[in-house]
Amino acid sequence: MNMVVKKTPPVARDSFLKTLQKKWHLLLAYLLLTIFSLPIGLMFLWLFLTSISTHTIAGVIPAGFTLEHWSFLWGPVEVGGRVLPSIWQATWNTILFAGGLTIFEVIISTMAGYTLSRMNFPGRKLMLRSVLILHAFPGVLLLIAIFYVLNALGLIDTLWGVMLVKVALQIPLSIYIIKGFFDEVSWDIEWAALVDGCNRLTVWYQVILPQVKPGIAAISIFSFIAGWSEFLLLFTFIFSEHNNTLAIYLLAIIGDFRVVNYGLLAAAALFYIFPVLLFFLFTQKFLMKMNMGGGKQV
Amino acid sequence: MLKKKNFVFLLVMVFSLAILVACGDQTTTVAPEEQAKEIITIKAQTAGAETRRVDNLVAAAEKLNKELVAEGKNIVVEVETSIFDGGWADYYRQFKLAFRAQKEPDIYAVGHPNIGWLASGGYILPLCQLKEAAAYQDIFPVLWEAVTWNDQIWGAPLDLEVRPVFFRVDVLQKLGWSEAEIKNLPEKVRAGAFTVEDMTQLGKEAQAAGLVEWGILHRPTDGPEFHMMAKNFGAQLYDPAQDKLIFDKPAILKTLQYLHGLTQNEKVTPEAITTMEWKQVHQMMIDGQALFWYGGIWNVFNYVAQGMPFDEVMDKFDFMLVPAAEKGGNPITLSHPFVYTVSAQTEHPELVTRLLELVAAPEFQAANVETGHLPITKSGIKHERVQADPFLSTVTYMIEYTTFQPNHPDFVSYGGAFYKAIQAVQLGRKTPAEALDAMEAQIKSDIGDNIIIKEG
Repeated sequence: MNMVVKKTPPVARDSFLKTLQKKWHLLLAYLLLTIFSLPIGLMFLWLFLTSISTHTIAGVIPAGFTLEHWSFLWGPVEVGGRVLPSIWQATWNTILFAGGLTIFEVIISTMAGYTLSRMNFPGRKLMLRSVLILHAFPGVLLLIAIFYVLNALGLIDTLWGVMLVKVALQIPLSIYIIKGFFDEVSWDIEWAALVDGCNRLTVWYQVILPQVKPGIAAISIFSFIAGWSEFLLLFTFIFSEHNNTLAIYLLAIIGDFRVVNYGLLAAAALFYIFPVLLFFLFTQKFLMKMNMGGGKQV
Repeated sequence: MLKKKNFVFLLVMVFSLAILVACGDQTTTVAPEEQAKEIITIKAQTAGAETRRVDNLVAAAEKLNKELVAEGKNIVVEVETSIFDGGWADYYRQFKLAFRAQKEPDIYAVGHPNIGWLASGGYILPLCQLKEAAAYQDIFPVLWEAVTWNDQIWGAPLDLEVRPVFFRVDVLQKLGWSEAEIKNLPEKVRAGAFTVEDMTQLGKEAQAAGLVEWGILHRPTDGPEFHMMAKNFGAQLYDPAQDKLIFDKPAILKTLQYLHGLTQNEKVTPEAITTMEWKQVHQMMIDGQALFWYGGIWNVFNYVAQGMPFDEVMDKFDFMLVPAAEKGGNPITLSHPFVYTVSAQTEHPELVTRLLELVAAPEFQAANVETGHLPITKSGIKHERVQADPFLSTVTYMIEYTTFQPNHPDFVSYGGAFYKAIQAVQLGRKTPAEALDAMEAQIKSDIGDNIIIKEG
């Protein structure tokens, strides 16, 4: 058998070195990014391996294979001698909460964003400048006041009530984001539509909204993730077990802190983050087109 | 035109609000055929893994319904249970909010020290009539102390635990102790012939012999065991006549000196024990790395949950009261019974009280063994299920020696300051005297004049 030894031509080697010299900063950037991202990647890997392992070596390295920790998907789950209710009720509540929040937020902020971007009315500038102040309030500061409002409306201990509160807290940021997208849409299109006989509502709905689809996608993503991961408001204002969401269900899985089943906790945590990861993977391209704040008519 | 638009907008908003409000009210419709029978729902809530605390109420409701049928009443009682997930502070906060929204449970199961704030805040009803009820006549009398505040009874004790000191039998065997000596140790403690100092020295001996890494372990977080130690050193924590906490400086100083000595002088306890995890500390006992453990009877089930078979726990461990501080003194233990309290807003106080009487029956009390708790009544202790338990039947005598934490609203603040002092001395950051001064400054700032400072 003849071995053919190929020698790298001197020209090719030179060009490789030249590329390296030109793009060393890029390589360095990738190297740094990899180093800084590695702990996060390893964390997810550990979470996955723990969820399918029977035990851990030295409390850290997962070992042995089992699907037992995932059994909450098809059967009751027992934590510290207590049988928890099905995870699917909590999953449905979380979908309802995050989905409802997204719908409310998109409708309200697209209307408000359009108005603030396109219309002149007294107090417009003040409203725009103060809109972010609302978002700057940490929810925890408002808990007592919110309790009194929800209680007065009879909405305490309901998902709808907490959804309303969350919408109110989230809307300022969404308005600010979507207004930037409306600012980018040319006035000519709007004028042409008005000349063709549209009123402002049909212009907004039929002409302008299709132009700001990436913006709508962006605020949808933010709303959905905010709703999916919401804990404090739900934990405070929901008293009934049948209204619990996945975040609170995870708390029940942690159960008595003295005997945490880390395998089950890892599996449930993965189940919890999976829809958000999936949602993010499919919609992240819209996020890249985001232009917060705009620059035209603030 | 503009006015019409405004009107339509307003109408839409009002309509949306009406829908939301309608969604908020969860009324249930009763089918016509069921209307004849009045269903009364009693809500009961607890927290933690011991679901039996509310499950017993469901079972007791069946008995109550039979009694109601016999009395010819057209009422059916249903108990709706819920288990709270989260920390204790969150559990109390949720009750306060739910009470304000009139959505609180009728029966609220809670640790007895909470009676102070629940009663003084008007959240719960006094239950003095329970003391006269037949079902509670053979309760361990000392338990009424745990539910008394301001000379009134505010709760029904539902289960009981004690805090013994666990010791490794195998380590003592290796130290050359005979079977009889080991078996007699709990009795020696009971007689006051074996003190906390003896315990420290024995732990040190086992360490020196290379049998264990540590002589004595205690809980890694804030909790009642530290107040039990303080009581053992003679601390008075509460003055019922004035309804004030007491900061007993000499006794607290002795306790801090003892805990400081464990980690800094005798080195029988890890210096960083207050930064460890529960699981880690349990594992050290399971693996035989320590001789003594200031535990609670439920820890047996923690050990089982962490992989040690029950028979092995019984084989490797024995249990004794907390030894007296001085020779000839009285040993001690402490209980933190869970109690049923009744909401001040309940619409059915009579039915709830009857339910609480029924749930004290021996068969329900005997169910407490499922989670390593003791019955509250003597008839419950005599139940065959309790007598058949190889562990609990050996520790029931400790109930005679039990003490409680005070039912005072400020006790949480006091406990927090005490624990900070303990951490400081055990980590070697402060001397016991310095930690005592810092503790005094903090409780004066947190509690103000509502505490009696006892200097000597």
